[in-house]
Amino acid sequence: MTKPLLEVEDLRVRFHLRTGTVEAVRGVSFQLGRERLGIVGESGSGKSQTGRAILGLTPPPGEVTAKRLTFDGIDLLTASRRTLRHLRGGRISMVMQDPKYSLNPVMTIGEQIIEAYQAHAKSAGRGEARDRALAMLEAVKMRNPERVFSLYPHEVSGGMGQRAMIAMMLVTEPDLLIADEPTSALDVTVSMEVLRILDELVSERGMSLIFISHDLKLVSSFCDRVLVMYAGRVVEELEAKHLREAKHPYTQGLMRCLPTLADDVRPLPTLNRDPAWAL
Amino acid sequence: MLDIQNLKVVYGTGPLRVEAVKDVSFHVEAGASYGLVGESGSGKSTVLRAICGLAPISAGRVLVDGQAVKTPRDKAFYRTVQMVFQDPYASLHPRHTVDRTLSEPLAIHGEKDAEARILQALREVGLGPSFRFRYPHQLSGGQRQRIAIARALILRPKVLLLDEPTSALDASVQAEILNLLDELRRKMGLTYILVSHDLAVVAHLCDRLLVMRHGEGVEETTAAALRSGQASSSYTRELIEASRGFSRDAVKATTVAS
Repeated sequence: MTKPLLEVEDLRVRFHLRTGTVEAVRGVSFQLGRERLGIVGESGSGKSQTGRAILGLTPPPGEVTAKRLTFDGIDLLTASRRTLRHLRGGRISMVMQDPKYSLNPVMTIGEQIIEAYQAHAKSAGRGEARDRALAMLEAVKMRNPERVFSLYPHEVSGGMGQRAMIAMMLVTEPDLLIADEPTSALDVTVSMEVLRILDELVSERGMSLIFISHDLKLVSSFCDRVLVMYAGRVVEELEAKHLREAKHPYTQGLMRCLPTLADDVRPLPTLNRDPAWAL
Repeated sequence: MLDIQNLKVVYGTGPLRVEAVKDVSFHVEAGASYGLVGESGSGKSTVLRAICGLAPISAGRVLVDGQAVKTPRDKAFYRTVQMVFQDPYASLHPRHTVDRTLSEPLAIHGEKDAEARILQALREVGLGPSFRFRYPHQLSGGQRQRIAIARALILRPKVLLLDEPTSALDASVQAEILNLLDELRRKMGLTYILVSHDLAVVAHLCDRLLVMRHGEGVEETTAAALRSGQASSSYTRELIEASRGFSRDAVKATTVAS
């Protein structure tokens, strides 16, 4: 890891509301190379807002500040809209949680992938874009790419929709993929399949991945490094394989409170939130 | 306590006809806890809905305490069987206070002493009297699910139907609700039917369970068998494997196999 691809220092996301200012992300810092980074936390911990802020997708009236937010040397905070448009979907892509809401319901899956490709490869002709789309559908293990190409999102299952999303996001061969709960809307067996495909593509193409999830167990089995977030801050950063040696009581509590098939603990240990964690 | 015999649920007619549940049978002893596991579309929730009258019983029988249920269900049925739904954000009336939500079943069934019963119900689910006049938006997800459980328990039912009671909650809150359900069952001698897609949750709360797929029971097994990794059907084994988290070894195994 020579020069990190993404550098984030003291990232803050604030929402100025009628009732006062809410700081959703409070000084998050990390660096990302060619690796799989997991961001874990419970609802409201600021993990999704962190991912969105990197792409400049913080919804208004949100305000993003950071000492440093650079992608491959480009300052994302001062970059022009034009540069950002070029980066988004081109060099940085994002897979959202629910394919039902993030695919265009009135366009076929094939057309959507072609649109994504042509938006960034301006010189590409339609024939070439079509070939790329079909190849990508095959890469995400669609049994019959030609058929899926001409289907509308409502005609496919959740797992297929999510794979179509991944195909659309990877067709431009981005350097960084941000996946925000990519499998939470899917059944366990289907989600394993989607993860397998994601894993293969990430390692084959040498992409960096930020995997955002509430599922500590899943993230630790999938990523190289994990950031644990609580109340807008990173409370712990550790190697995924050393998760068992987590030091922070919040991480330890999150690990213990899950029921497992392996052993039968009852009552389940619950998490006593120390107000000091949020300071 | 509860006997489901060859239950079939059909929606729609003609080309729109869907057999959501094809043929499901199981038996639950009084005081036991029974789990239904499967992926979305397997018909597990539809079984629960058919028991409590929210889905039609197209064929087969549902017996509670040895008696076939009547359609529409009578008041006595709802005194025996109550349900807790998946999403606590959607299942509480947003413009009713906790007090009104809890007093409604009491009023319908002509129960007296509502005040004392409501306070007791709140105590049972671990909430203080200060929650009584709050609206749902003033509660967290876990507190809402506690209110939903209190509403189901306030008529002192014998059977509780739980439809994914923790899947909308954070992991730490899920642990609290699972502990509460465990404790209430022991204290009140309740019978549970729990629907979940999470094998670990079902194994934690239930002794016996039915794995469902495409509207049919695939395999009836026990929590102990799941824990030791025994399963006779390949689908159950797949579920057990998936519940252990992502593994790169499994990737190799499947790519070699295909």
